[in-house]
Amino acid sequence: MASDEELMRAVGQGDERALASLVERYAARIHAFLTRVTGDRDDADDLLQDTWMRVARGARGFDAARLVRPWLYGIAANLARDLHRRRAVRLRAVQQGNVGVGESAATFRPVERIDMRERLARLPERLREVLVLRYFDGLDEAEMADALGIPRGTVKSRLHGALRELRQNWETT
Amino acid sequence: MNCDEFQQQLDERALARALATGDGAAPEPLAHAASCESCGAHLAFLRAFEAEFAALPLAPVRASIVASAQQRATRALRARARPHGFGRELVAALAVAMLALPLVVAQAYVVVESFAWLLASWVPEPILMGLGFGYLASFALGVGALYGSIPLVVAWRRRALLEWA
Repeated sequence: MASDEELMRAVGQGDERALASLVERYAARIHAFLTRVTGDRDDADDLLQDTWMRVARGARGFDAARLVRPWLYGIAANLARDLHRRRAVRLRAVQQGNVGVGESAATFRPVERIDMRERLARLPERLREVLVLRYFDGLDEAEMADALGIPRGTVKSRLHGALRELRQNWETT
Repeated sequence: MNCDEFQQQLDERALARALATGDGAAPEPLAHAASCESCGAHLAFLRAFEAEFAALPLAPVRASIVASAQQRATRALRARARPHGFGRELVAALAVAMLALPLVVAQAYVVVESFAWLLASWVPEPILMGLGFGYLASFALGVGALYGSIPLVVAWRRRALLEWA
């Protein structure tokens, strides 16, 4: 079986079957990651499509020295962060009453509506994403650092920070 | 080793899902937690965390979503693979920009002539000529760029549609 990196090289040369193999290998895992990070299955569906679009667009320029798995998770994490940022901006606009005609607070899905375990949902995004990558997706610290573009020490401190926050939350409930 | 370090070791085991099994890990943190109230509480939390998060339900991704993602990515890949130099678009942009020439000349003629007639007795001729050429050049560049951007925008839009259709 071809490695992820071999498949990615083939995708870079326009090999559609290699792309299909990568999608088959990773779509479910990336979708699960996105569902856990965004807390919304519909968002995860949309972001999954965007993730693979970006993979196809970036395939030709993919750095052969990198590992594919953290790169994929990095793309997905960035998209989830962008979505979160846009939502936060929209929420602020809604709260300040700056919404245009035809738009309303009802079209915005606030964070409180997310459908997943409350404890995980209450974590700040930067802590939630490292916890999900480590615990559910099994990425090691080096892979997470590569995926998120942060130093390994930061990954480590965020992981422990996530557990600390969860514990505080656990103790208060 | 102090309590913080023990708790960090326990954290790492929990994150590796090895708290219950204790696979390949030294037994000290667990032994310490049995006799230390603070670490014992942390271990209890981590066990609850493991039990709760291991059972986190997650509906599998729908096959139609995966198929759609794959189709769109394949289209994007094809669009990228297609040769797309900017040469043709650039020629088209220049050609369309040339269409702006009559408008530029007519406009410049009216404005320059009017101002020349108004200012002829106040401003020396060389300055008047300089102003006229300056106006003509900036107007020609502005309108030419506006016209010339049309083919570039059309080409960009066509490519985006190919990827997203």
